[in-house]
Amino acid sequence: MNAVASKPGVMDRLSGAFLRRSVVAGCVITILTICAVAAYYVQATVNRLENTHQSFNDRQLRNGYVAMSDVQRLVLILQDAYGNRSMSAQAAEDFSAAADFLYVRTDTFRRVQHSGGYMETADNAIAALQRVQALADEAIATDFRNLSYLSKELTARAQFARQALVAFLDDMRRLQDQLLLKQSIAVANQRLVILITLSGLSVLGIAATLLLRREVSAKLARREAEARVRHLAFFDPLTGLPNRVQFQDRLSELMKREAGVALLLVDLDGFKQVNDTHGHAAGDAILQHVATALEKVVAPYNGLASRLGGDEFSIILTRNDLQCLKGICQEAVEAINQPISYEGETLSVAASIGVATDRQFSSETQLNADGLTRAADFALYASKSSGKGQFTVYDEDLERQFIERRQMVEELPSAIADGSLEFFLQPKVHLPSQLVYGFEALARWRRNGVIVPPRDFISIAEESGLIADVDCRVLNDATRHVAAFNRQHGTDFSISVNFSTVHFTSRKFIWIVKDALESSGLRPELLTIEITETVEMHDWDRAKEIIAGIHDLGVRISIDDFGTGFSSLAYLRKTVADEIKIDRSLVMDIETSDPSRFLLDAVLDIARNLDLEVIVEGIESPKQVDIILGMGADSAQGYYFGRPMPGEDALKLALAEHAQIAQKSAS
Amino acid sequence: MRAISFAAIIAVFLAGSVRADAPEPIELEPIDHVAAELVIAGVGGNELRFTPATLEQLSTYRVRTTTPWREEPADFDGVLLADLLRLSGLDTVEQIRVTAENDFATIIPRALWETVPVLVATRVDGRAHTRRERGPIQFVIPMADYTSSPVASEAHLVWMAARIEAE
Repeated sequence: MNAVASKPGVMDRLSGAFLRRSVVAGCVITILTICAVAAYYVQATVNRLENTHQSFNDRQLRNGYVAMSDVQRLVLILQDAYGNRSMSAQAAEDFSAAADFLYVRTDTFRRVQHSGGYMETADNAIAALQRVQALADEAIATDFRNLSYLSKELTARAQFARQALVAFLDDMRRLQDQLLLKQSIAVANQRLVILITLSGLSVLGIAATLLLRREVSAKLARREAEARVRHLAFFDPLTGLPNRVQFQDRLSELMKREAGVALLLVDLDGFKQVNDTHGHAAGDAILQHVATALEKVVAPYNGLASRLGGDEFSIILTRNDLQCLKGICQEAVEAINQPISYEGETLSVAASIGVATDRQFSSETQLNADGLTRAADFALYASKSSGKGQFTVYDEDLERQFIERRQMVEELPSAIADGSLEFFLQPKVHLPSQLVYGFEALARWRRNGVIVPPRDFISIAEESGLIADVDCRVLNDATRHVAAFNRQHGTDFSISVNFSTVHFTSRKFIWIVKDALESSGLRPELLTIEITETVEMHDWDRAKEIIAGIHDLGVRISIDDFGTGFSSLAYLRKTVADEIKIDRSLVMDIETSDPSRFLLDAVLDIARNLDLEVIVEGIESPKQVDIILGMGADSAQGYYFGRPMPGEDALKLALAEHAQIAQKSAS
Repeated sequence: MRAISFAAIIAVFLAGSVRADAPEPIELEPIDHVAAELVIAGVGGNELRFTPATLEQLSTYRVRTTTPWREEPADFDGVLLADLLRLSGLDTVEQIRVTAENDFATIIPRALWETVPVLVATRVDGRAHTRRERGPIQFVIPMADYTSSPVASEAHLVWMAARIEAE
């Protein structure tokens, strides 16, 4: 299994990995770590930017420039007055205002500087401005009396202030450059962090998406598979019809909640021949044709057509008026019988139908799904028995038979056990001497004092699986009885016992025959096992092995009812039989029909060529005796020589005949 | 009695919720001012010229507040910028330009004078406002409004104001 299993793909390995807690925990930790590192890195960058920004104050930068302007305003007014050798009132007023401007500017400068970080050049500039301010105040206070001194001194102090302000502004420029650089670096770093974070999250996202897709696909596939399983659980895959499970569910449900339910069981006639002749594909085509036909028929009646298995179909209808049901049956039979074309050939099958409704049930029969199915099945059996392509409605008469049959099924096991299952003997005659040389043992059931013929209970025994017990019972009783008779009267009567083909599937049958011989004391050569083909033999190799085992015991093998079975010629070719028993159907017209005579003669010729002994069955008149004698037959069986009768009677009669012949010969 | 007590509590509560630095109307006695002039260029090209004394002839208010340059609160008296602009027809313009005596200039959006009481102060602590105290005509905003307003900035606190015009 592992050798043919394909290697797991990437997604399989990934899925497997994600089933481990450690892998999931690792992924979660990785994601959290990436986020934490990214957040820390961004925060650190922002902090550095804020620190730089705190040092660099754009208002302060403006203060520097404006202060320089204010100083220049003072110097210009004073130099102008010095040039004019007098300070006019307007100039004095302007000078005073300019001094006020400088005062306020210096005050603002100082406040901003104190609220920000320490900067030496700023303090130097403020000090220089304050010295200019002090001289301006002195000039106003002295009413500009010494213009020469004031002009020179103000120019000197202004020059000093200008240098201090330039130094300060250079520092500010540096800070500004740093700020811009750090901002650029910060942006670049943030971009890197974002790229790394996005890449990591993208990989995880893609993996998660793929896993999710895989999970969703798997879920869909699982749903489809479940739906398929559900469908297969309730529908036949070949025809698409509901299967037996759904049929039973629906029938049970309807029987519980509705009155007026009808069940039609449909069984195809000749389906096996289609399968054997044209192959299983053709058989499937026939089954699909039948399914389609039934669906069309039931559709107007809201019925349910199902395939129960093999070539068995059913129809459930919620109506029980017989006239309508018969019409539906007729429709179904005709629809199914329509030929279909398959690979250039025309195929067709017929169908038998059994109908049962809840109306036909008496109080003796249990009204449930199982009971209705059994009744429909019994009606189907009746249809099959009376010919093909027919339908039968389960009615009072059938119900009587049905009940009778059911009772027989129940009673048969005890009949086998308590001895009420008896055997009758029918003589087999040597034609040239007209003497009985042996008998065929035939099962009879003495039921309630009445002898039940085999046609009434052998099929029941076969269907209920009791045929093996019936055959064994007859074998044991007949061999014991005949052996005892032979010992008592010094005779060598042989005995033939019928065995269904169902016995030829297990070597246990050899032991059963051996036990019968040992317990009865019958010589093996006096026992003949007649193979009665109730079902077709499929496992020929197994059957030949069992027949060889019986031969080894010294027991003879005979093919019963030759000419009527499923594959009579196959028996001749594949088995090692000692004799064949030609069925009465090949004999009954030999007095009047040349083809019948020709056919019988041909069969006898074949048997001779194969070195097989032949017993001709169904001889009922002396003319038939003459004809088969003329054909060279040695042995025969039939009402002309004696009907089946209780074993003791048959043996005594044969003994008496033997005595008579012996007496005649002696006389 | 109980109803009276409840009303008293509500009154105290409401009184407490009124800002201490909100402008209060005040009657000002004439005083000598420092020489100064505020020119308002109206929409039609007309100019209105105010000295501190002529400004005080309009409705005057008092605001007690600190400023970015005063740690201790002071009483500022003057007129509301909104009244001044309404008088000159500039109250509907989107923004105004204010220029100071020292050539400083700033732009004030309408949202400011419509949402915040901007006082054009001519006196501080009852005295005529001087240049060294950022007078004679100074724009003052109560500190609580200044800090809470998303529009107000330090540039709007113009001192030595000399001219107002539509921008």
